[in-house]
Amino acid sequence: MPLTRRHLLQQLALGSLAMASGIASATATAKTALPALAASSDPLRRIIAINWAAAETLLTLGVSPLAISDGGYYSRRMPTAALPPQVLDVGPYWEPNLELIKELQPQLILSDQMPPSIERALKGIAPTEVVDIYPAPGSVWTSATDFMTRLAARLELQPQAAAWIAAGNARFEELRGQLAQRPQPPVCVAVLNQDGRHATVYGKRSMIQDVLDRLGLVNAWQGPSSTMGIALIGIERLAENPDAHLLYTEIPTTSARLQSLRQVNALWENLPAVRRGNTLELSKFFPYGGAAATLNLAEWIAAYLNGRGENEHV
Amino acid sequence: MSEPAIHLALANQKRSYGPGIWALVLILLATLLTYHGLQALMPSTLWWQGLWNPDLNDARQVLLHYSFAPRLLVSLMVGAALGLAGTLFQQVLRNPLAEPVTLGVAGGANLGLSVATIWAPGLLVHGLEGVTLVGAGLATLALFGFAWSKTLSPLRFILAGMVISLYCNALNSLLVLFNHDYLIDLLLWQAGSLNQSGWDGVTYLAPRLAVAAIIAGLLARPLAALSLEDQNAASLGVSLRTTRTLSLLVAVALSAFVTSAVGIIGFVGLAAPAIARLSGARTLRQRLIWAPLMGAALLCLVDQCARELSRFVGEVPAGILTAVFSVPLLLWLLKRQRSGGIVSSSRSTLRQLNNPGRLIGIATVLLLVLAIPAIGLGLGMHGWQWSNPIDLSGVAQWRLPRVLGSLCAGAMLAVAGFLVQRMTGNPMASPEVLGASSGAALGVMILFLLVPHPQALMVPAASAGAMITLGLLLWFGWRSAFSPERLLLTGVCLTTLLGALGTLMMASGDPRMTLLMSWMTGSTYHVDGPAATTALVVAGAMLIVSLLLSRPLDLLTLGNGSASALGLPLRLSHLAILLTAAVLTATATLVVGPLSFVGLIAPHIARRLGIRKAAPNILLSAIIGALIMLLADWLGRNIAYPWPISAGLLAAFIGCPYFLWLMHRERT
Repeated sequence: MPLTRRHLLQQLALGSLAMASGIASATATAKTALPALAASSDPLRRIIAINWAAAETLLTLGVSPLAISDGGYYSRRMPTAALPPQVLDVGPYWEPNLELIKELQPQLILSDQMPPSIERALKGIAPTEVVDIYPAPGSVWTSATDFMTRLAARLELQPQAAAWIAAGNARFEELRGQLAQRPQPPVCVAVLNQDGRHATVYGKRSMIQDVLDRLGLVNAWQGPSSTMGIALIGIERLAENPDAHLLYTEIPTTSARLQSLRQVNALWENLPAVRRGNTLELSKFFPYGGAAATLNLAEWIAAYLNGRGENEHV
Repeated sequence: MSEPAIHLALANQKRSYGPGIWALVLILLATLLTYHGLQALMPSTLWWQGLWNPDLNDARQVLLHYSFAPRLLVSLMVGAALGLAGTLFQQVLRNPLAEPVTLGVAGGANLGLSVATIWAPGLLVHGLEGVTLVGAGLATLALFGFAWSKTLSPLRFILAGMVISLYCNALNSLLVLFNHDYLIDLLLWQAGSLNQSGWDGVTYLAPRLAVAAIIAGLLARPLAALSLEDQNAASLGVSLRTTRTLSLLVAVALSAFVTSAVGIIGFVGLAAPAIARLSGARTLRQRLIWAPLMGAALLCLVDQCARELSRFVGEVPAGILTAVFSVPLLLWLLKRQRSGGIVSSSRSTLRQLNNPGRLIGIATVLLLVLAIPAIGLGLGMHGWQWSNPIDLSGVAQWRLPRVLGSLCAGAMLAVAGFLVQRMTGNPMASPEVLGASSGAALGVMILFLLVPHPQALMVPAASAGAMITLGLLLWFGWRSAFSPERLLLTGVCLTTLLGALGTLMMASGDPRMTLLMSWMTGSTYHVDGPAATTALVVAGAMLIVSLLLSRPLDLLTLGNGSASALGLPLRLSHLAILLTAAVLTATATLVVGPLSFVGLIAPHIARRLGIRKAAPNILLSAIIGALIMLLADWLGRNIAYPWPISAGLLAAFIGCPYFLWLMHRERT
């Protein structure tokens, strides 16, 4: 695998730190290099992460969770660090298997918001922290990094977390600076439905809005959105802002369906963004990830826009 | 002209202009909204060009040509198709509640789509039509297979259709839960959105609708004879079976085409013929013309509203708005309708058991014996494990409340189902018909929409929802003196409305809705000690109340007239039965979600086991309901370990086939 500078940066941002850190320190990009995170001898390592953002944060800190919820789907949706194969599955996040969780004897449970009875049951098994990154009161990046700091304090990994967050903040500034060099179009991030007629877009309080704000970009979706920052729309509404660039993803297993629809989907073909080639397909994208997923989205958006900028100069 | 003659002429005039005026109002409103939408899109000078020869560099013209215009046409065609299908179904089955959705045809089509999406997306390369047609076809075959008898009894048909519909929906929910990445897509399809992204929908529907309309026109004369009693019609030389079968085939094909083109659009098939009939279209010929027109105008109007609304609140599927618009209209029309036998229970000759006590005893012992392994035996990390069923520091702390909660909920739903079925004299009735469970679910959903961290408030919200629905139901019921037919229709209307709003919220894409979804399919996961205790206390108390009601329940089977003549205060006993059923339903819903399978099926199984009197029937229904839920809960915890399967879904898997088999056996 050729190791280009961009590829390396991506790897770093993706949190595959253990693999890349040795090489990174030797390169000229030392200022963005993030510290290696070896698992310490601290005993607090038996952690069950029902919440995916928490699972991702653990992996970012170099700690492999004992078990997570819905592992198979996690691997298909999460763009950042891969799930180690030994991580167990405790069932869906809305009904994690209490009996299995008890059998696993965790030291810490990182849970979603649960009904009171289930929260009590979890707390009866092990100390339980309810992850409240979403819905973020202000910025997703802030609430995700705050969570990382809190979690790192519990795991005695504060220096690593602080360094990662500092590097992440620096990276955001760097990307913002790069993008500010030329005028940028509005950006729309969408998850397309398999019926070819609908898409989910993201507004206030969403990870996407926060990333765009931090990069100094404009969200092409200015319409209403729900408490969780999402809106379901017909794809014709993607044409409302003809200058917008469209970054879209589809649930991996449905791509065949979408491909077939696109061949006959006259409206999609004639959307301004598609006609002008102002689109990028994101391979994996999960709008409720942690700090690493947030930074990762920023990297993708910046890489796409910078790439276009270079082409226009040629 | 003499005065009476003038009166007659005026009456006739009024009668014949009735549907025309209604259609005109609908069409006028739809046209206004369409014009407004076009005006907002672009100036009228560009309309013609955009429609026929769009400049593809102009986004507005692209939108008009590929989205706005085909969507308008599709809404008209789908509305007409559903109006026609509904009219045919209702004429053949002699039941104004018959439509593609209640017959299970739309459910089958929907299930076909889900199965293909998850396991064979390759099939979808050729379009959705194929798989939905296969699904609708299979559901129809099942319907015919189970409900076919010498006389093609209309009531059997509807009953089998509703059970098949439940079964398809249960399977579909299961698929969605295990593949929740598809959740939004599948729910949106279920919600029925008319969004178009090209002319495929139009070119698909137009020829099929035309052929169906021609066949329906040819069938108009022999079909009209079906209004007569079977023997009279037969003596007129009309082949009953051929006419019925052909009409049903046309209606089923129409429903399948609609479902494959735009998904499930409920209620138009119900509302359009009802509006046509109630606004004055009396003869079948009139209804065959006016119902599709009403349907087209209605759906067009609704979809234009949906389009306007979607600019402010995000995508609103037309299927949901259809329900919202149609329900008040239908309720209002219902008020004007003279009461008449809308549905009547066919008192089939079932064998009668002489000694129900023994059967009840055996069932009780079975329940108690099975409850022990239901708690003690289960899968763990290292395979099957036996744990002490009463040691509350072990797994029993979670299993005991779940088992107890499921038992009580099953019993409560079964008794509520029995009460509703006895009171309305309608074997299709179930607690779901009361709308109380939908109301509870909706209360919780609204809470989720308004509050970011709603979990702590779920119980109060569900109670409030159930109570508000119940209050509305009581109000409507009181006004119509609790006439069973009206109560049933009102309940169906409210349930449809609430269900539609619920689907809209579920389809909004909020990840927290998955939690609601599991509750709505009847999961017992969240039942803890206090909830189970509450369920036990309420179940016990209400069981006693129900047993006290057994005399009026027995008398009601004689018909309202006879019961009243025997000294039964009709209004009071109806109110008492309704209240009891509502409390049972609301409590059960709070414990295990708004599943209606047990409430529909358990009383039937009891009846078909040979129990006629109310008191033993209540007891046996309760035990059967409890048994079904007990088994379902245990299976649900172990089949896909560590993943759960909702007990409500499994109850449907166990109960529906058994019910259909009983029905099938009974005809011979």
